[in-house]
Amino acid sequence: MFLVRLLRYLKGYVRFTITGGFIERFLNLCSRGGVPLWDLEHTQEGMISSTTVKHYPGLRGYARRTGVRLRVKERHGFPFLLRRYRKRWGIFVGLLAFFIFLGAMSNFIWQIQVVGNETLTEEEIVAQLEELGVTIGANRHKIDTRWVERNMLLRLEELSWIGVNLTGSTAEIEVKERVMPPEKIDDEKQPTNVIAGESGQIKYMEVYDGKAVVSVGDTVVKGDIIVSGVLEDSKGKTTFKHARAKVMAQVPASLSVEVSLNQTIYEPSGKMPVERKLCLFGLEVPLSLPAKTGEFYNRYESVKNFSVLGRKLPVSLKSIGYEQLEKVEIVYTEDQALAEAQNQLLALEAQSFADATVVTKNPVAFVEQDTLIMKAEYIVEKDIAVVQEILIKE
Amino acid sequence: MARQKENKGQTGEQPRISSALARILEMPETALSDVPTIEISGNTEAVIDGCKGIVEYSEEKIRINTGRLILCITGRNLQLKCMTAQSAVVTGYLLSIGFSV
Repeated sequence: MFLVRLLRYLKGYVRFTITGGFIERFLNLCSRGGVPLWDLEHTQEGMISSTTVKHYPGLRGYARRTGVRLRVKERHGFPFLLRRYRKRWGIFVGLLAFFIFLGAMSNFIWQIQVVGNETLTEEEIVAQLEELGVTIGANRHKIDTRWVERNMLLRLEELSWIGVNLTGSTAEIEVKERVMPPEKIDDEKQPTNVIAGESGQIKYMEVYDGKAVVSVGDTVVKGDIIVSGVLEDSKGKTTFKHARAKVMAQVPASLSVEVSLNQTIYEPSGKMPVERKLCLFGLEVPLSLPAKTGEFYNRYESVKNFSVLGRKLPVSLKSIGYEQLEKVEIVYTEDQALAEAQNQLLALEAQSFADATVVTKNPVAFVEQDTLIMKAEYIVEKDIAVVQEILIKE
Repeated sequence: MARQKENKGQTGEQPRISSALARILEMPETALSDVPTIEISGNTEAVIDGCKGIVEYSEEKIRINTGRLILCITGRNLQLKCMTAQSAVVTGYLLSIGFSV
């Protein structure tokens, strides 16, 4: 029924009164003449009915023959609307401009959707696409999808397949990631020695393959062979092995940190002017005056994307915050500098000796030219085994 | 005998060739003859297919010519919702539907 109403509206229809004469005969003549009538209503004077604009002029003949009088009561539909606004050129120009704008804008990419990525992030893929010309605002007719696909496969080795589908203003990027082969394990057939990666005293050894040439308690220098992969039997026959071992040794190490007694630091002043920009079709339209940033500041940027029914719109709001910093001169006392140096040293230790155990630690602190220097000598226990390939001339 | 035949013709009960043919061929009678088809939805709407014209039209009574018969619909607030060359849609509160020759 909606469709019928829509068609009637598009064609246009009139509602008219029928008075006097032989109304039933008039209706019969209309039906025989193929004139559609609907919504016939009784009134005190006669009837009210509706028919299409096209058929209404033809009713005059029937009215004359049956003696009824017709009078248009209401006019409905698109043709009348068009007639009412025919002198309002602005509407037509606006409509035309809208369709031209719509047509022109549909030639550009306004949305990039990436589907199928698991390990690679959308940002990584989009960044590579941008370098190949697939960006927001790019002309879709100038994009050679095959070329982009080939180059993306060369640029991102994690991809096994990529499909660039341009649907309207949306570039849908379908990707399939490569299942990367597991890391290659050491070739067990390759003859190797285990050498000392650092100088120190061996405390513990676990030899998995090969022949140990030093023993626990021995001191080794960096580069010394600890486990040999060359074995010689009693008959003088030489065999090569892939030597492997775990060699825990105590090795000396030293760390030092410096803390200046006169320091300049930058503290947030609490003021953070924000600059807002509307990103529209790839253009940035400032919504506020440029922020007064001052001499020192931290810059924070956030982008809020808008979406309708789950579809990302080519409109986003960019907020740039400038956290203003104040320059503050600080003079440390020696105790304060020492505490600071100790904290820094602990942080450095945790970083440097992540895979080692500290056995002894001797820190020394002294002041030299307004700078507190803290030096610490360590003995740490760590695995110093390094596998070295044996080169054999055939 | 002659009077009987005349009476039969007057009441419209004489079977037509098209009806007889439809019965022999086991086809719906409406497929071969011009009898009207009436579709009634509850007591609010009646669609008459095979309408030849309006004989009487008021809010209480609508009489429709269907060719061989006159269809008489009585009720309250009766209205012709739609009317074309072949069909008519009557809406309102239908009370009875009757036929006359």
